[in-house]
Amino acid sequence: MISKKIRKDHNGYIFITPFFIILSIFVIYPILYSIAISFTKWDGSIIPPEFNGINNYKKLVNDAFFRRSIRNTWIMWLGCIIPQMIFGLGLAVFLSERKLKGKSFFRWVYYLPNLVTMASVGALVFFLMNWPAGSVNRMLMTFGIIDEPYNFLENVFAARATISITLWWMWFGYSMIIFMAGIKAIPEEYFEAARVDGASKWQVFWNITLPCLKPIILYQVVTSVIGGLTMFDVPYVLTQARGNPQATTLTMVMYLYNTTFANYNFGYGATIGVGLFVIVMIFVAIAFRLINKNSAHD
Amino acid sequence: MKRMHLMRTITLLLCAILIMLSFTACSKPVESPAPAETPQEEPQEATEKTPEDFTGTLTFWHFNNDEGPKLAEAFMAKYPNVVVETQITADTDLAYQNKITSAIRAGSGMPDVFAAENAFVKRFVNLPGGYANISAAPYHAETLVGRNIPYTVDIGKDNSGNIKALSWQACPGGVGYKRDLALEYLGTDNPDEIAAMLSTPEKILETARNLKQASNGKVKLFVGTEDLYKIYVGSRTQPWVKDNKLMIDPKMMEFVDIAKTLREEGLEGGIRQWTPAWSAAVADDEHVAYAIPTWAIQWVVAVNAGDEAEAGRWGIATPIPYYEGGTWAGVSEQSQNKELAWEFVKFLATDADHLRDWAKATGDFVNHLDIVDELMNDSDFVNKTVDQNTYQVYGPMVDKIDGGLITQYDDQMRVAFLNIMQTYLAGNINKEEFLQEFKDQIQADITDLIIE
Repeated sequence: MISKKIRKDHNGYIFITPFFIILSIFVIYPILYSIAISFTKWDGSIIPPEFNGINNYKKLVNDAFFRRSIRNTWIMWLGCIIPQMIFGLGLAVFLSERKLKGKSFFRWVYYLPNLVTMASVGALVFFLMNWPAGSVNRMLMTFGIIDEPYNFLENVFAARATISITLWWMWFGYSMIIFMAGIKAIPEEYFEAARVDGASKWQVFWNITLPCLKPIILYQVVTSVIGGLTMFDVPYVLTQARGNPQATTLTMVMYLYNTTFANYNFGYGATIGVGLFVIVMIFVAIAFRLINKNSAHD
Repeated sequence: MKRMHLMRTITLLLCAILIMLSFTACSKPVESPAPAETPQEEPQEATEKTPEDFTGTLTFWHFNNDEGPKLAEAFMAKYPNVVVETQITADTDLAYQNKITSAIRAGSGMPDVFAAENAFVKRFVNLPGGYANISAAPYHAETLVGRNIPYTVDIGKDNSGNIKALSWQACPGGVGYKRDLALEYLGTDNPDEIAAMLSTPEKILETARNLKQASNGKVKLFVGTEDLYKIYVGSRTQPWVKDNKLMIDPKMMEFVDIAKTLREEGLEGGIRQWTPAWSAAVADDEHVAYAIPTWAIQWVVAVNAGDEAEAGRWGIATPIPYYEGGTWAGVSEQSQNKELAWEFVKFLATDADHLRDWAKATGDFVNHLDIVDELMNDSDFVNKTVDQNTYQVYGPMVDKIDGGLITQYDDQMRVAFLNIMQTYLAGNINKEEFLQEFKDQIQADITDLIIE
């Protein structure tokens, strides 16, 4: 019989104290500090922050650059996540075929871009797409596709597409690995039963693989939303910090960084940070709701 | 129940402590010492001391690995009992500026002396807690800078007119050109004739078109439009910001127009400055000219031109007076060794013997009028890279430089102007949209500025 009495000594608190100390110093304190300075005007110097009421928040609501940065971030994220999911899933299904030879090699090759740091990839793509002497321009001219070098990074669509494709290239291998793990976890009996019933490969995919992978897809989308909303490195390096052309590749974190560290507007930078925090929290809450709904449904 | 109460108490206590801590941190700067007009430890008058009498260790921050260590070495050679520990942080992505700003804010960790370049020196001379006021006692910098070129002294002053940092350089600019290409396609490599060909926007365009025609489109006049930006921005008559208002000098719109024409007619290389392609083009046979202020002979031409630099392939013409660049150094407000720090700054900027040696060793254009006169009249002082006496070339322009053109916003202006101009040059926006976009960007970057 299990005793109903719970031990009430407080030794447990000692063991969890280090975690709370670290959490307080590195997470809670910076958050509270950022919130506090978001109500101030401060250039980051030794002159104390000047209380500014809710002026920074009023400005944030009407800030065209902030709105632009939200829109840009979503457009570039969608341009990345949709092909990332399609390719990741497609390749995972394809490479999970039992009879296929050389699977490990392809898994390794597709995952490789994810191991390179984002800043390095950004710099590499900058040199590839550079005008007028970038490798892509030279290649297109050699093959006679274009007569004059084209300034890809100054065209809104091409610049955003370059960033989305770069991020897709970096992340589809990662998605593929996660999907493959998900496929492996689907009981083999399901597939066997389908084969016995004479189901085609497409029917197996549509009626077994995809429904069973739904939680994994959702997990990928949720983690990608968080990563996507904090997009920074690739557009920063590729557009040399400015989000060219006309701030159409400026992301929310780039705007925060530029405001704080390039323009020394620490107070308003913190306000942007709080705005970003709220946006991320809203979408994470929606995503978790979807996940929980999905788990309950299962 | 009791346990829940305890937990709630702990949580509330923790929150209260954190909130208090956050506000304490916000108000921490209040407790920091205000930027003192007089330093905490007043240095002794050093006039009677010899260099050997100075002992100790100085910390020195600089952003350039080519210059910083050499300055320290020169000081240590004359002051044998002093050690200068130099720390270099490149200003890539503003790393150097942010490092200084953070250390000032933290109230600790600042070096004794730190350098700042033209692009951001005005911010640091006006930043409380940064540079010590060397106009005040016991430094009295004004009494020592009488022979320094006045514009270099003006730039080192804060908005109240106090000297905070001193420079050892003057940076008038010229147009560097490859003599062989100029001779082949323009018919001359004479600096005066080249200067005449580039003296007005119309003549620049005419020369660029002649060059294109003569070389069948193979050779372009300027490596990129950003080189022209240096010339135009340095030859404005009003600063970017005056009375807290954005001022767009007519010269800047003149620059936009000429850059657009050069781009549309394929008369410039389209290469952005400080990129590897820009450096590599110094040694090629496809681009004739770069904007070359004094320091760039060494740090742009000589380092990138390889062996040809020694052969005098390059020449310098001075068609339009302008200036670009320069480095300043000052005593840190936080220095615990201000006497020695001041001795170092004083040595760098006012020691005539050192400045003469420095000019001869590095080819730099120093800002000491006596040395400028001396080297202008020294027939043996010929820079091998350009085969000219650079003091004779740049010297006459020194009087035309206006230090009042510099503001603390210049770097932000440059970045915004040139980036948005790339979109205009690519043909994706028109001139009005470019101007509006520039104003919008500046308003977002510098929120307090009045923009009409």
